[in-house]
Amino acid sequence: MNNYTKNTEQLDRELVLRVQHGDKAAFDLLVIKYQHKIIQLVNRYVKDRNEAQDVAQEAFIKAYRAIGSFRGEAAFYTWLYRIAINTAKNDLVSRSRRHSNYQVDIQEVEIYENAPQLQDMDTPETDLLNQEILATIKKTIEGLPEEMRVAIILCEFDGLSYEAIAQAMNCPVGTVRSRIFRAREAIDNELTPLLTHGNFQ
Amino acid sequence: MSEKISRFLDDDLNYDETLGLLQVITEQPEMKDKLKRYAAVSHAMKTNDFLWVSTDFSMQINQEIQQTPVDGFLQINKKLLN
Repeated sequence: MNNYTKNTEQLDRELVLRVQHGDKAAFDLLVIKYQHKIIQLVNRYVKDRNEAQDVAQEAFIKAYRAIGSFRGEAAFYTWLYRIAINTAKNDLVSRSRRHSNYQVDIQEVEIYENAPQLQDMDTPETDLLNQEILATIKKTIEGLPEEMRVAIILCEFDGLSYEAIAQAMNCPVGTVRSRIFRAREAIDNELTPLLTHGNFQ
Repeated sequence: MSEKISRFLDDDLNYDETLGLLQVITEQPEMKDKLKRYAAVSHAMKTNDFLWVSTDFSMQINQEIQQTPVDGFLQINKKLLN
């Protein structure tokens, strides 16, 4: 286990301890941290994004209700991941019972666990806006000064820790933090008008 | 504070700094929105898929968990702390 993973797990455990002591806001932070990963995971099982978000919500609520039993033997995300998969599978089974034409072979679905969404049901408008957003992100990254571009790429695309990026770029960790932050700010500045215009709330 | 949001996404904050961030996003909705945007962009860069999670997502979870008593947690948790 590298320091990066260790830090994540330790921090999650500390947040979980706070939740176990009644700090519901700490759970909010865990939700924001993992909501994208969980929705994407559920989206491999459940057809469309709205449904996937409903199921992901249910998974988080189940996790909260069960959090007293979390003892930190596994990483929080591993624990949450299992809850999300079980919730998604249960959702598929209950839907197939409700609708006779909604036949689902869960084993078949599991084959696609590492694949992208089974079936994306986005509207053409949403799809177009998503493409525009992705293009804006790409264009902004391409226009960044080299040291910021390299830092954000090593961080997001290659998943390197700040320490590893600092070594690769031969600069202090503090400089890496600053470069990554400034890259994110630049992307955020370009994206915010698009999100506002696209009615993302 | 925005830099701390960035660092939080990369697991670079220590516990005390995370608590400070927690306090800020609880009190300042605009900082929570920024965290959500940063998280969405981070996810998009990793997956080439922009997945926007509505404000309702965490709000509805929050409403639901407000109704869940925490007493049951405390008893279990004492074992963890001792």
